Amino acid sequence: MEPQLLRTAAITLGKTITRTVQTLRIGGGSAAPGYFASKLYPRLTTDLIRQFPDGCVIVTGTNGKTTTSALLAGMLRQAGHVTLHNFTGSNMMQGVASVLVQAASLSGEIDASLGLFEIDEATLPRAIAELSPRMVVMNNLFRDQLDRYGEIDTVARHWRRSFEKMPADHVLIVNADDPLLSGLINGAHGRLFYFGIEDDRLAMTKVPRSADSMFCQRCGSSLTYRRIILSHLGDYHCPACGWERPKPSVYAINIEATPVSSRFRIVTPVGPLDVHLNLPGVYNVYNAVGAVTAALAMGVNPATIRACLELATTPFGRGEQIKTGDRTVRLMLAKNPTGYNEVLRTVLFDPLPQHYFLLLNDRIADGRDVSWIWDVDFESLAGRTKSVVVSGTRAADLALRLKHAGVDVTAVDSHVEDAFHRALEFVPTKGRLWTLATYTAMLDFRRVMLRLGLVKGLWE
Amino acid sequence: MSLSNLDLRIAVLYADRMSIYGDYGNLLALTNRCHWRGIDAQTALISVGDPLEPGQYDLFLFGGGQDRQQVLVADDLHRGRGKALIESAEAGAVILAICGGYQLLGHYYQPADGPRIPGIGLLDVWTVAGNRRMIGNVIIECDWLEPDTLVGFENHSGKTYLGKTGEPMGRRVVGCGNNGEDTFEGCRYKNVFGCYLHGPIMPRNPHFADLLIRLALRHRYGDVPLAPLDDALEWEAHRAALARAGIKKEAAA
Repeated sequence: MEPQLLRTAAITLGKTITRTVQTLRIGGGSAAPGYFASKLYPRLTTDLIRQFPDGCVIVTGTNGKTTTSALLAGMLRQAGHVTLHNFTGSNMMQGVASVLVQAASLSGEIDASLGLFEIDEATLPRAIAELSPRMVVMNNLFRDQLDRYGEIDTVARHWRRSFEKMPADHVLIVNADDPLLSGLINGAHGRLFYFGIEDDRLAMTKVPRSADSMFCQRCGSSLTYRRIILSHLGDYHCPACGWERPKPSVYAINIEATPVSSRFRIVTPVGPLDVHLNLPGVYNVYNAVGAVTAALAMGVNPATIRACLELATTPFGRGEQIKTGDRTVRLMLAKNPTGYNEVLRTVLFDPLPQHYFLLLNDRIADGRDVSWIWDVDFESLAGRTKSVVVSGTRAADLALRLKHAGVDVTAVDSHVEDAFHRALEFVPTKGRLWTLATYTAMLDFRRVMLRLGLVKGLWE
Repeated sequence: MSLSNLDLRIAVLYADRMSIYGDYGNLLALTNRCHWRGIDAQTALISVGDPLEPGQYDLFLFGGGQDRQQVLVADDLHRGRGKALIESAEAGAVILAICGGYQLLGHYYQPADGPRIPGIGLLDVWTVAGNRRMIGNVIIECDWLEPDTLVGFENHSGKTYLGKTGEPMGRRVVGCGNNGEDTFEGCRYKNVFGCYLHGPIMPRNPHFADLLIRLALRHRYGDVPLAPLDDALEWEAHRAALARAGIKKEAAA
């Protein structure tokens, strides 16, 4: 078959699958259409992205991809870029292909000037090869799903190789506070912009148990920290060889955080931005500063950037607020030790004990291995809960972890909807239920919310 | 002998370099199960260059690590720590070694490229790098344990083989085990247990955790009875793992 015809056939197939999946409500339809369309016509993605006059931007890292890319998408759109974005967080190559197929006409035209894609960290080398991005934004590299990604050193090695292959005019936006990232970026081609946080009041006294890379990426000695912001992120240097954190050109200071929002100043080469961000947690300050650095490098003006940050709302499942009668659910994705620790830290900004609904799944997208829960600092919850209901496919494992942390578990029920109703019973009028869930558990929970008519759609 | 004035000395080997896959849960479960019974479990971290004398500790935990760290640790074991470990084990101290730690208790680990990493030869096993990662839930049956199942999660590419005197810990019912070829998982010698069971292994296998505590106390005091604990959650998690693998067993004490 002619390539042109084959491509049209692939697009048609993808669109048909999307419609079928949506009609039958058998899933979000964010991976399958791209998967099968690319099977039929393997060059589909490379072909379709070539038409974007402003190229492609990739956002990657272990945590914060969806939020960072959502913030950046808002800023780019406000600045006039017609941006195509895989906003559902389906971030492997089939997810990218699905978004392209859905946006394309049958002849392959897409009404967009720029592609913005969040990309899974294991997929990054392939994404760089297929998308030839003009910019890669890198947030962090934490331990996540060892069963899927392998050891963190392996991921870093693959990244390093693909950066060495990138042409020199490409832009890399890198979190300076992550020694693993700044270490592997050494020797990469491209223009480098670093971002970070410089706020000693937020600093923790020691690197948490969940952190991995406390060793110098150059000589292998133990790193010393002047300041730890979260996990292994902070202001580090190597006492043996002198290697140290690069000085960021864009960074946050004066951070005041609450469980639901924060205020801070972002120092940039074009002047400071004072921001009130309606997203919770220190990790979202990193996401915001990363997005701001990328937007500045793309030429977006500071006033536009600031306005977008002020209007930012949580992407689904990432601190999302759901009203249920006179009570509120706050749904927080917590999928690996660092993410979980930071979500707990955020909720604990409130000194009063809270109500919790904790869900742990072990499906493929969560990682079949749940041993990571033993590296989460659940000990910080001990004595600070009013009720704790546990659910998900691995509810028993999570309950056992909480027992060892000294946290009183109120109820265990692997049936999500039943467990939710039990959890809600404990919450008083005007109270808040903190719901922390792994990826597929978060989707399971949102399915329940959808059935109860409390959210509009599964993916929004 | 009253339990309340007993103490147990636990050494965690190279936890700063060899602690991934939630190995911390093993230490937490062991120390909690001691504390819940009034046994004072004291923990020391032994890392590169630290002094280690035979007889100093009753129980050693040795976790898994990334390749780069494993070379460093192997090197350190051959600077005296390995000898102290062997003498401790011969005198009845307990060692639980998982994954990378297990490999280093054997004769050697042969990586895909690069020189052979020598182990301390306490267990009669050797390991060669495989080209396939063995990842997933594991269930093994052990004829020396009651109930006889252990549940865990494996994630390794090294293939471990038993030598002539190497006793397996058990036979795999689910998962790949030592090498995915024979039916064995792990290796034991005296009170030394090496295996690929992450998960972590201690919390969901309370019978095995208590066995290690009993053996470690015996090393110190002779036979001491252990007070029973409420293990309802522990066995629920254990049974859930068996049920998900389609195994129906009366696995509760």
